[in-house]
This record gives sequence, C-alpha cells and structure tokens, in this order.
Amino acid sequence: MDFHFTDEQRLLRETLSRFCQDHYRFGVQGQTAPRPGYWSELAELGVLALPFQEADGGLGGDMVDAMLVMEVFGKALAPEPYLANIVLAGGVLKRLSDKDRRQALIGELVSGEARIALAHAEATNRDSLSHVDTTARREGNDFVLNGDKIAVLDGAHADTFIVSAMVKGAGLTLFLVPANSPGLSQQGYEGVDGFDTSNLGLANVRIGEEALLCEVGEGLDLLEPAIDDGIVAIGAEAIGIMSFLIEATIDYTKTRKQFDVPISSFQVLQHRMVDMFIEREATVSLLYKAAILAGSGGPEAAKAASALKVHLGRACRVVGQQAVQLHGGMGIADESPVAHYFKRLTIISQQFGAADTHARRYAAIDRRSGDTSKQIA
Amino acid sequence: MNLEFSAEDIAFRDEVRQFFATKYPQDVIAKNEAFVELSKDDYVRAQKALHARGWAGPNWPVEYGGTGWSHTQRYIFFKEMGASGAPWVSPFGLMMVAPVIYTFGTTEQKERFLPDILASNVWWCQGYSEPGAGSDLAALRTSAVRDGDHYVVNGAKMWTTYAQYADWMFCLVRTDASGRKQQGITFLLFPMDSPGITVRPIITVDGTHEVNEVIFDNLRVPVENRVGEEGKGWDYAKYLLTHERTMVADVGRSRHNVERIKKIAAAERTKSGALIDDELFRRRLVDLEVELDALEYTELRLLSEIETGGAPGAESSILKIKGAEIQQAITEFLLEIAGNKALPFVRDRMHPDWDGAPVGPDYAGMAAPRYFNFRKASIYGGTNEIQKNIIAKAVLGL
Repeated sequence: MDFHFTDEQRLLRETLSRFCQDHYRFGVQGQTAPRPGYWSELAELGVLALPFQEADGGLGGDMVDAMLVMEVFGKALAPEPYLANIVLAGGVLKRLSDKDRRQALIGELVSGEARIALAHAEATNRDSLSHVDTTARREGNDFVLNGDKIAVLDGAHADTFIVSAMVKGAGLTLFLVPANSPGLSQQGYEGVDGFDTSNLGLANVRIGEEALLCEVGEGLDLLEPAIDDGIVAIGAEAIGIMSFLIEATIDYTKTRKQFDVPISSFQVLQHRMVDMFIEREATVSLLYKAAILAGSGGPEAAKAASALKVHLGRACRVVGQQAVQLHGGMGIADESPVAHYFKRLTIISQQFGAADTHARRYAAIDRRSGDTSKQIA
Repeated sequence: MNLEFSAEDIAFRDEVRQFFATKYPQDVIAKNEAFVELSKDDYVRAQKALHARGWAGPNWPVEYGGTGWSHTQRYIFFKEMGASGAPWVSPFGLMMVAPVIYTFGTTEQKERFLPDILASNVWWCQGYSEPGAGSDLAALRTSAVRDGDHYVVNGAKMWTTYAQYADWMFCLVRTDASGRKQQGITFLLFPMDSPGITVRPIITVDGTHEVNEVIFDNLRVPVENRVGEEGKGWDYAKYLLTHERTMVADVGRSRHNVERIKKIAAAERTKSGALIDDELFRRRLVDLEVELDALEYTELRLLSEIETGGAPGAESSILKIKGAEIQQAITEFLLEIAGNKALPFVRDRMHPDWDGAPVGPDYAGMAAPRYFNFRKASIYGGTNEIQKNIIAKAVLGL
C-alpha cells in the first residue's frame, strides 16, 4: 500500500505545470481559448501518449498518470480536450480487442493528428449507459444510424465520432463515424464551462461494417469502463480546481478587510474554509482509490468510480459555492478567475451522471458483492 | 501508487483475525455486539487476553514490552479489532499515560507503573476536563500546592470516564497561576483510593454511568509521583494528544456497523418489501458508505505518509471529525430503522448485570440510547469545532 508518486510522475507534474503557466492566461472573459498548436506540443511532450500501453504506441502509463495530467489542467483551468480525446475516446479505443485497429487508432490519437469524440449522451436518456434512443438498422452489410446526441465534448473539432446506438435484438453497440458522413449534422457551442461542445444529428447516416468497434450488442463493455475513466479524470480535474479555489479564498480573505480587520479572522469563515479543505481531502482519497483500481476492470473499480462521483456531487457544490460566497460579489464577477473555476466545477458535479445515478449504481454493485467489512483496504 | 498490502501484512491480518475469532473472550464480543455496557471485569479479561498474546502494547517500544509493530501492522490490528466486534481497549493506561511515562518518566516510575499497565492489573483514568475547563483545557484550576515532599491538591475534574473503575488517575494540576495559563501545569499520578478523593457519578441521558465528577479535598500526592518537570505538564499533555490518533478514525468498527445496519435493514419489512431496498433509504445509506470509503483512504494516505517518515500533522483532525460524524450517523440510522420499536426505555438495560426481558428486537431497544450516548463522539477529545480551529490554524494558515 503506497500513495506516493514516482520521480517520473513528479517530473511530469512539474513539466506540465510549467507548460500551463507559459501557455494559458485569463482574459476578460475567462480562460483564453486553446490554440491548435498547443495540442501538438502536448503530443510532443508525450502527454497524449501517456496512459496507453507501449505496445499500442503509448508510454505505458495508466489512469494514475492521466489523473496527474488532469489535476494540473484543472488547476490551470486549461481548456484542452484531454478528457474528450484521450480519456473518453482513448478509453474506448484502448479496450478494442482487434489489435491492429487498436494500435492504428491510438497511434493517430496520440500523435495529435486525429481528434475523436465520444457521442453517447442524449436528451431523452439522462445518465443511462446501457440504453440510447439512437438506432443502428442493418441494411445488408451496412448500418444506418438515426438519432440525436448532445453534450459531445470537443465535437466541433472532431474528425471522427464514436457513436453509441441500439441494434435491434442485440443492444448497445459502438460505431466509428467520420464527421463528414452524409446525414451527419452538428451544432457547435461553447459550454458554460468554457469547453467546445456540440450536439449531433444523425439522419440516415450509412456506414459499413468496418465502422463496428465491437461485436454487435457488446458496446457497454467498452463504454462503461471508459466512462469510469472519465469519472477519474474529472475527479482529478476537480481536485486541481478545488485547490485553486481554496488557495484563492484563503488569500482573498486574508487581504479583504471589513470592520477594520481581515475577514479571515472571523471564525465562521475559517470553518467554511476548513469545510472546503475537508471536502477536497475526501475527494482526493476517493480519487486515489478509483484511479488505482481503474485498470483492474472489476466491480470494485466501478464501485470506486461511482463512490467518487457520489461524493463529487456534494464536494463540487460545497467548494464552489463557498469560494464564491467568501469572495462576495467578486466571486460572480466575470473578470474574476474564481467565477470561471466555479463554473467548470459546477459542470463536473453532474457530468457522467449526477450523484443519485451513481448512488444507485453503487448500491447495485454492493448488493451483488456482499459484505465489505473484511477487506483491509 | 498501489493498494497492495505485502504478503507479510496479509498473513499478519489473518493471524489477528484468527485471534479475535478464537482466543479473545467471545462473551465480551457478544455483549459488545448487543450494545450492552461492559463491566470492568469484561474489559480487564479482554485486555489480559491481548496481553497473554503479547499484543497489549501495539504502540509501545519493544523495550517496555511493546509489540514493535510497524505503523501498518498497528493499523491492521486496530482495524481487525473493530471489525471483530470487540470493544475498544480502555485507552487511559495503555494508550495515554504509558507513552507519557516511558517518554518523560524516571526509571523508577517506568519500573513501577509500566508492567501493571501492560498487564491490565491497574485501571487508569484521565483527569483533564474540569467544570470550567473543556475545550479551553489550559484554563484548568485544580491547584497543587507544594508542602514538603507532597503536593496538596484541591479542585474538581469533570467527565472522567470510568473513574468508578479506576485504581489510578493521571491528572493535570496547576502549580503556578502567575504566568501564561499553559505554563504552571503539572502532570501528577495518584491512587484513586487516596484520602480526599470523592467520585460522583454523572448519569448520561441514555441511562449509563460512564463519566464522573472527581473532587479533590486536600489530596496529598508525593512529589515522586510527578511525571517530568513541574510546570511542564502542558507539553506532556500535548505530546499525548498528537501521538495517540491511532484509533480515532475507527474505520474497522464503523464498517462492521454499516454491514450490520444493512443486515438489520434487510430484515425490517416495509409495505413494499425490505427496508434496505427502499430507494430513499438506500440512497442515504450510500452517502454514509461513501463517506466511510473516503475516511478509510484518508487514513491509508496518512499511514503511507507516516510509513515513509512523514509526521502525522493536523490532518489527523480530519480523522477525528469524520470518524465522529460517521459513528454518529450510524447511530442515527439504527434509530431510524428501529422506528417505533426504539421507544421502550428499559433504564437498566445497558447495565452489565441486567437480565430482564427486552421489549422488542434486540437492536431496537439500544437504538435510542446509543444515539443519545454517541453525541459524545463530536465532543470528547477536542470537539469537532476545536478540530476545525486546529486545521484552520495549522494547515490553512488562517
């Protein structure tokens, strides 16, 4: 049992922190947009290849490494599509059973040439993983896709989508769909959290059998662990954001004077900041557990991811809201960085399913696995 | 980063688990599981069983008869102890006064006191809180005035746990009131049957007798019973507080109790089935389980830090806060599950000698008293508010 980072991991964190300091600046309206060049710089640094197996063209890291990256990005509020491309799309691709295909797709992804986005969420399916309304109808050797996707992260920049759809009689299936496919339409927008996002329309999009990423009906086996990876990633991002907000709040309350004293001298505010700190520490603990277990693929990994997400539901609110509250009006001023960290943290609290969804999943896994009091860790 | 425990640690865990399942007095576990108050004899027998196995001093150095365990082994030991359903070890001798004696005491004091503490031959109680000194412990006013080879002690201590069982007390007294209040405090040891000591029971709201008021009226304590220097008692008391956080999270026991809650809630019926399957109930229970998962890993993170030479800092205050909140939440769940069945208050039921017939199911009769009793968890050992003050100052720099 050991929670220390290796020297390489510490070095990575320093390098990436410097990269963020050099590249990202706050403008009047939040973080400056990412530039296309940054993504290839990150590819050159090896950050994109980090969490993939060496045999697949990666650097042999795992979700603990991805966690480090996301924490640094969170702390800088860096608007890079690491979650969308590397963790989510990459999370599906690294689990493909076809070795040649896996290596080819991961190769394109980690070089920064390809931008692949996961299109799963729908307006009518809330947080369901196993069911979508989008359909894939067989026509000879082809599939014809119909449906509407929302909240496609980095969708506007993607050249390829991983689309989830139901195949009649078989179930959820994942397809690789080029962005320029006839019948595919997209509505891009900036998310309230500053990330480029889009909604996707699929109207009789015809794709060949080669678009299948899994056996028909077995998409959940790829999707579910990839989403759990996503939960680890946003959990780490949340840690970076919470760290920023807690430091900023401490600094602010020490300098802000009211009634002739720094407001940090008020015990009621001190205890709020302690509450923020305690929520952060609990998040770190649940995050480490989920990140370490992420590679194992068992029910304990899924349960740990859901535990993290249940906790994030509350922790993001507590830390975000109190940071704003203790900054007073400045906390909701658009020129204040705190306001923008607050926005991203708010979205994280419900991304990949709100707390209730994951509480249900946690209880379901628990029901199947039984008494946990005899484990030592 | 990894979550693996070594093969040696796993083997050790199995050994500890085996011990509690076979060599430890099973009737004490049964009583504790039934939430019945344990007698002095129950505690002493249980602790003597630990001593017979050589495990009475998990934190003690080997030279005084301690186990010489690693921090990880101690963690495993206490976790398994909690998970077995065994009661806590009365901490006042083994966990509190002993480290002060073997760290600051004279050779003579070590030889005189430590063997009997280790063997649980002598029961100790802690004289810290006073009617006017709780969270502000340094405000204590019990006075000790030097008179030849003795101190003459006058004053009162409050909330003294199991003073009625105790043979000896370790006590903070004021020997000098002229300087800062943290100065002038002295650490004394004395037998509870000394002339001038009166123990007055304080019955808590659940009907149990755990705590007492202890009054000193011209109690004479030989100077040789002073630990360390006169006026340095505050330093020793602080040393004790920062070094004895091993059991504060009590994750093993809480996990064990959460699993019990699940079993009880699976047996309780609602109109639509088992209570455990009620979505609203289960939803809130998940919140508790997740809190416990977080606490468990916070403790493991601290352990990983300590094992590699780091010092346990004010982060251990988190363990105290969350540990207490979770213990209290467990009692809230039990109370809620019991529902109307929590109503009967059989006043003597928690008494060790009670042999009457319960009204309603076993767990339900204890649910309300347990809930009332456990309000103490966020009050003793530094209230949760004091713990937050510590974090604010020491960690956040406020």
